[in-house]
Amino acid sequence: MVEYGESATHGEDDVPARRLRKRSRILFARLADPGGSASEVAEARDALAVLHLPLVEHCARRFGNRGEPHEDLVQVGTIGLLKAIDRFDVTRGVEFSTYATPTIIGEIKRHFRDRGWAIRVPRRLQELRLQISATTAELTQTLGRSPRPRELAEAIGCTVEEILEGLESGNAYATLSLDAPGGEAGDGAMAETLGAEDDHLDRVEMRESLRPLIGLLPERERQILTLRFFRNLTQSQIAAEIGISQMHVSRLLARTIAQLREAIEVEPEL
Amino acid sequence: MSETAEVVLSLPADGAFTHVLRATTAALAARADFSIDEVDDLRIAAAEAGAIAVRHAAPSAQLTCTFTLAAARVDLVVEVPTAGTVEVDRDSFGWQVLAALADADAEATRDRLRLLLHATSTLET
Repeated sequence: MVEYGESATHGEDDVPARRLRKRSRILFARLADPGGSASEVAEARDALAVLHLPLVEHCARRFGNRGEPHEDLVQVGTIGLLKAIDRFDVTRGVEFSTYATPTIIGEIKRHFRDRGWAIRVPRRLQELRLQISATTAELTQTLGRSPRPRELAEAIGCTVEEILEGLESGNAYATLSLDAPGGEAGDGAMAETLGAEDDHLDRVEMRESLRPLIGLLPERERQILTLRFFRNLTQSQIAAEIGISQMHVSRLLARTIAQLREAIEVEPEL
Repeated sequence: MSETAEVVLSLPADGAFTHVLRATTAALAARADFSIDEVDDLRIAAAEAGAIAVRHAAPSAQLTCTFTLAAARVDLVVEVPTAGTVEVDRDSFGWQVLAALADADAEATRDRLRLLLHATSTLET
């Protein structure tokens, strides 16, 4: 490995490296000095960080071309360096660079792991949501009723908590802004159609005030509301009747109720 | 679940916290082995009860939500301090939704409002 003629200046014996190690030892001694003032200790710590920054550069380069900017890797690696400086024990007799390298690399690896999470979590939930939807339909068929969360969890092979998380994320996923355009062509935004009714709601009986609002709902939402509250069908029955999934019925129902409530309760009732 | 279990949740009477009530209700209904449909119905009902309680709450009051769980049954009492005796408008939209989805009642005293919800699962245990 050692090329001919380099041995005299290589590795442990070369002058800059020896100087670096000496300076490092002096600074660590100052850092550990119980008699040192706070500013002296802080200075020594800063100087150590600057002194060993090339080590971070070196570690960061090993993770180049993996989709993360080099500067980011140097930054998180520097956090590892600072941790190593704070934890380093001079009396152990190891070189600081030997001690610090795993800490710096650990920090960089953790960065990759954390970045990965941001992408993996929603995808996992999204897949789970699709699985729940498909399995709900399947079990509704075989059982002849709406399945329990526990039964879904058993069929999918996950926990009840994950099922609930998936159902909730399904609701969040499809939440529509009130500013979203209405369902039918030519309709304005949902918020506009609701707002236009506010003036007429004053002192009007609830049923009467609800009627025009329900009339403004998109056809499918109106149908679901009618089936649920007037014909008293369950969500699964509605799903079967309309030909969409129970989760979709749940989402539309929750959204429609929230929108109607918002529109109705602009005027405080008392 | 053979015995009954009691879960008490205390929340600021602020609409921003009603999603905690929603999520908790769903988790507990699932524990009581409700079906997906029934879990969702109770979740919507609890959110409405929470909204009604928040609207009548005295300034900076806390909602106390007490769940009693038994096999295929969840009882929820949402209680909130009020400034004077309040009256829940049973023609209101929120109450209509609540009553359609769960067996609901309201009790108001001089300084408190209690909303009572009973839900049972139709599934055999």
